[in-house]
Amino acid sequence: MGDTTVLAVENLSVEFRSRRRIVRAVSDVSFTLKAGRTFALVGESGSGKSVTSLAIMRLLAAPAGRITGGSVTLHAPDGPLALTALSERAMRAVRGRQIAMIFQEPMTSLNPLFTVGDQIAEVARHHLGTSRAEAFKGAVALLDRVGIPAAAHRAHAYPHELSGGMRQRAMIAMALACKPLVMIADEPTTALDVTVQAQMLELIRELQDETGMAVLFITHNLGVVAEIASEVAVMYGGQIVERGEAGAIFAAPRHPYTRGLLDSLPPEIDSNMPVRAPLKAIPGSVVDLAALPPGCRFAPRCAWRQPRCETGAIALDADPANRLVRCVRAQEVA
Amino acid sequence: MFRAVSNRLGSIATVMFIVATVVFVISRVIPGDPASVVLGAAATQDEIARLRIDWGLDKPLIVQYVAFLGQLIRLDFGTSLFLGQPVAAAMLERAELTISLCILATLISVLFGMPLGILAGARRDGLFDRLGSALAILGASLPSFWVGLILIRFLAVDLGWFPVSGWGGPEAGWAERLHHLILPGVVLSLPNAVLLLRITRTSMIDVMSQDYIRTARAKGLGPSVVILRHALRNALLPVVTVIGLTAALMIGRTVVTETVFGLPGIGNLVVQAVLRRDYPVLQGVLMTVAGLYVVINLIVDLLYRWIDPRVRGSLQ
Repeated sequence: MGDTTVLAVENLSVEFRSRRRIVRAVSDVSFTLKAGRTFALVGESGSGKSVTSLAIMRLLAAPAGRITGGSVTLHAPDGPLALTALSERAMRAVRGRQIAMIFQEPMTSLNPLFTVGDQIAEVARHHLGTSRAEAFKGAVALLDRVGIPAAAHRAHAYPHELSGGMRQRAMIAMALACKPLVMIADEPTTALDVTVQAQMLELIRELQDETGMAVLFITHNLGVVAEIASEVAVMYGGQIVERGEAGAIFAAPRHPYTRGLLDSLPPEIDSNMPVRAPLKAIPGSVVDLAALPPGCRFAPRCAWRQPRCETGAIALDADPANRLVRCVRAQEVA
Repeated sequence: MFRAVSNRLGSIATVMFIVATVVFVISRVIPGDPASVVLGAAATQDEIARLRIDWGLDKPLIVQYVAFLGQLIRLDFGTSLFLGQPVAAAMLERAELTISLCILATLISVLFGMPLGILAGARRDGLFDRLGSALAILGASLPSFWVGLILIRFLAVDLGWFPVSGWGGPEAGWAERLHHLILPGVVLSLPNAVLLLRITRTSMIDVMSQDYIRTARAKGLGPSVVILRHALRNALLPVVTVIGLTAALMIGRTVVTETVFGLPGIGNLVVQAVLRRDYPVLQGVLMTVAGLYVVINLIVDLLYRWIDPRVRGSLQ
């Protein structure tokens, strides 16, 4: 099953329009999710990674946010579905059923006035028409599966009565309720303690092995990507600047931005190291999506910049190993 | 639950004691003297002094104050100086009218303000939001006595749809009373409805931008479920407070409405009591209104606990 494509994003573009300006949040983004695999979208805040996931779910804040081009296709068991062309009603049957989503803030992402059991049960009741009692039983089983002790008791707890890690487990249980084909995880570990982060990644991996779902993992944390993803796309200024096998990209980044991100990671702690080396930061600040430069969007911050980088758009070119890089000097960066 | 109520009762007693003190002081600093009002301009100093002794008004203020507190503990408001009947009886006679009027006005303001506020807040800048804003500005800028007169002029006098004044008397059936109370109810509800609309709208806008609403939509729930189940209950907390407080404040505002519509209610009783310096009536009505206010606040607190599980653990 490893290579079955379940979700294909092709040339997706998203804009936010206000009276005064147009923010091009996502430009021409393409990637595919495969069953049982994890695909990571990596980038700084404002790189367009979260907007991409909300666009897939068609949850962009209307009317300001709009998909202006491209397509998203879900390969469901009963045939492909063009999500970008579905009616809102048909899209609602996909959300939570075929594609589920978990978010960064487990505290605020759960409704404070309902028990977690009720909130998990709601998904099956809504999509599958399961009875209240049956759905609640299912919620208890899911809570148990995601590793919440005394699940039957905790199902009656309100979100404020649970710890951050448990709340995120409850969110994952909610996402699993209808056995979705795809789970989108938008920075699911960012708000958690480091020890809990590792448990959460382990849990997601286990559940993926069990259910064969594809995971779209959105993060700014490259350490997390190395743990979980088989493929990575690095986003900058709304574009994918580098895409390929996770291992290959970590071993040899080809885009200056990817390289900058990897260099800015703290080095592994080594007791033999007498002096702590300063962290290498990428100079400058993130590009303004309402005033994009004509050439390479990373050029103003790039150490490899040449005059030709700033004149025209740079293409996302494939190298022989099927790595995509949006840089004219990719071979030199490597 | 029981502990929350019993804890509250302690603080209610303190509040009521302070209110009693303020009420006593206010009623005595109003210039004027009930004895000279009753006896008229022709009365001699002697006659006035005798009447004051009869009523106990010659005693030092502190003695009157202690006597007043003593009566309050026994829930006895004393006897009206003018009506020749106990204050409690005078209030009871008029309470039914005023309370029905307030309940009706609260219902009107909730039925009108909340749904419009929900619609306006759920779709910001949509049709209902614009409509609601226009109505809110209109409602907030029109004084209720004027609206009352306009409604009487057109709906009651010209069109004859409603009675001009009164409430049909004690023998009238409930349908006839309701018919009499609709116009004053609308007038009384107007500022509350507007306030409720605005509070509901603001609260809905705030809630609709919360992460858990995004979660609800990501589950595939439709807009009606998202708004009515996930958003409304969260948005309700400030709304419940406002309904409670405005319902309590309404009793004070009945003074104007009852005057415009010629209704012999508590508001009417207060006006007479102030004009004639009828201290026992004034004190009795103010204490009762303050008591109602405190009780409504307690009910709001309990409603909070029922709505929000986060408050349940912490209010003790």
